[in-house]
Amino acid sequence: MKDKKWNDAFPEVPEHVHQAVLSTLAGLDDGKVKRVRKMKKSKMIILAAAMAAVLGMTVSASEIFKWNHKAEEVFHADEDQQTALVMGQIAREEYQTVTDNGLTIQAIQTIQDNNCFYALFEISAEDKSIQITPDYSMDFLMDCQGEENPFSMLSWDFVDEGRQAVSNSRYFEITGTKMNPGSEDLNMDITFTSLNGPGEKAMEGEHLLEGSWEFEINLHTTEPVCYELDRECQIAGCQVTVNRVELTPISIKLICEEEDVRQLEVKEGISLEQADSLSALYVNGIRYQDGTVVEEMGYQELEAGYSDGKYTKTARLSGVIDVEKVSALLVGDNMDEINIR
Amino acid sequence: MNKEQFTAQVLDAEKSLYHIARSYLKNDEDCADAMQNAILHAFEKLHTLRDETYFRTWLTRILINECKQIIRSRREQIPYEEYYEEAQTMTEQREYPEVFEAVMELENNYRAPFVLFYVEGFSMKEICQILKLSQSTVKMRLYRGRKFLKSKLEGVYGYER
Repeated sequence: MKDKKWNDAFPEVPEHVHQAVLSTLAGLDDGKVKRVRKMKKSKMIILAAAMAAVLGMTVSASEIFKWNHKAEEVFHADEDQQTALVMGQIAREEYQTVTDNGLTIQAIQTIQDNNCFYALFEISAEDKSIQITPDYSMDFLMDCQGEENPFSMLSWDFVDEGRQAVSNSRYFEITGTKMNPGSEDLNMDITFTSLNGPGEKAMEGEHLLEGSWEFEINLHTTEPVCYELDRECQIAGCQVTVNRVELTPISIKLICEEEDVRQLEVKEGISLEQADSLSALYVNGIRYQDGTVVEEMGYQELEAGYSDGKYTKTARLSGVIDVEKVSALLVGDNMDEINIR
Repeated sequence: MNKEQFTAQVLDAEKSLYHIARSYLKNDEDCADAMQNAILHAFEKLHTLRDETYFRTWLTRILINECKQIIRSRREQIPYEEYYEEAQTMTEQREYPEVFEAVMELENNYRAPFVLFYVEGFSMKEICQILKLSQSTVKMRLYRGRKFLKSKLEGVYGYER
């Protein structure tokens, strides 16, 4: 009887239980306890082999939590940062693979916080004559299981040739800007419906392979670190009251008094209502408490605008930051300091 | 054992911990709570573990205590029957193999030794240490568990004897 594979008949560890374990392990360092309770049903397709590969080996934490190299390229995270973000549930390996009609789609990694979302998939055609170039596209549907669409902006594409050579397999990225993040996690179904060849115009590519490839992705809510400042700062020669700064390892939110930011608009001769961008509040660097300055190399503004007398901007940073050690944001061409301590 | 080694060992044992928690608790949320508490207590008490080769046995013992603690607290809050019904509602969305369902039908006293021995591969000696039971009691419970499952599973998945 002991020879029978009883273990195979028992369920794999559900994703949200696994995340709860990771979260607890993450809290061991500093005595903080991070617990996750998730009551919603999970229908994650967990690949037993992939899971066993992770769980069955005795390896170091940095090896266990290492990201896919493509995601690593996007967020420029070193091994410690990768481990910290996995443990903090900002980065997740997905372990979901679906094959239909000769096309295999693997959900590889998601990285997200309250402001932004990034998902990495690998699309592989069995037919090696299908050479997927960056001009190919995927059709897909998104459904937040009855909840409102949480994204104000969404974009998707195969990675370009500079990042991956052309073959029958290619990475596919979805990035989104979240709006009004609540305190509850959401589950989102992403169902791919076709791989399309290149078309003369967007959305006109021929449907090469049709099928149904369904994935359930958890839209995790991360508490940012918030600094209530209400502090006047000298920015581009103007007095600007910065009300609040919110930081996560991958994004920032900056809230200032509208009338002060209007001065900056006038000075730069731009109009935010005309979708111009205000360079004086570009976050061009981060100063850490030990004095180290990390320059931002191409961060993405997610949203910026006025509401209720305040100017709010959110941006995804070009690299992962250590939130606990940040002492100031450096904005504009002059790297004016917004001290947050 | 440092934190990194502890983390790796916990992740190595995660599946086993989940199976054991699941054999005591009827929903995944409680399993997650029990596993989280067990990890925290184990890390706090790590200095009391004299021989690291017993880490898995020791952690399993802690986990079972946490499971029992959760069952006790549920009994204080709501009648156990209600907890059981609520838990069944919460887990009914998932489909499990018939073998798993049959194991879960075992009486509490028989289920834990069965899972530890047949599913997780602990030795008789280890099970006696984990459950704080004598060898004859564990053997008797395994025998009765086997008998029950034999009657339930005859013909399923090629089960013979």
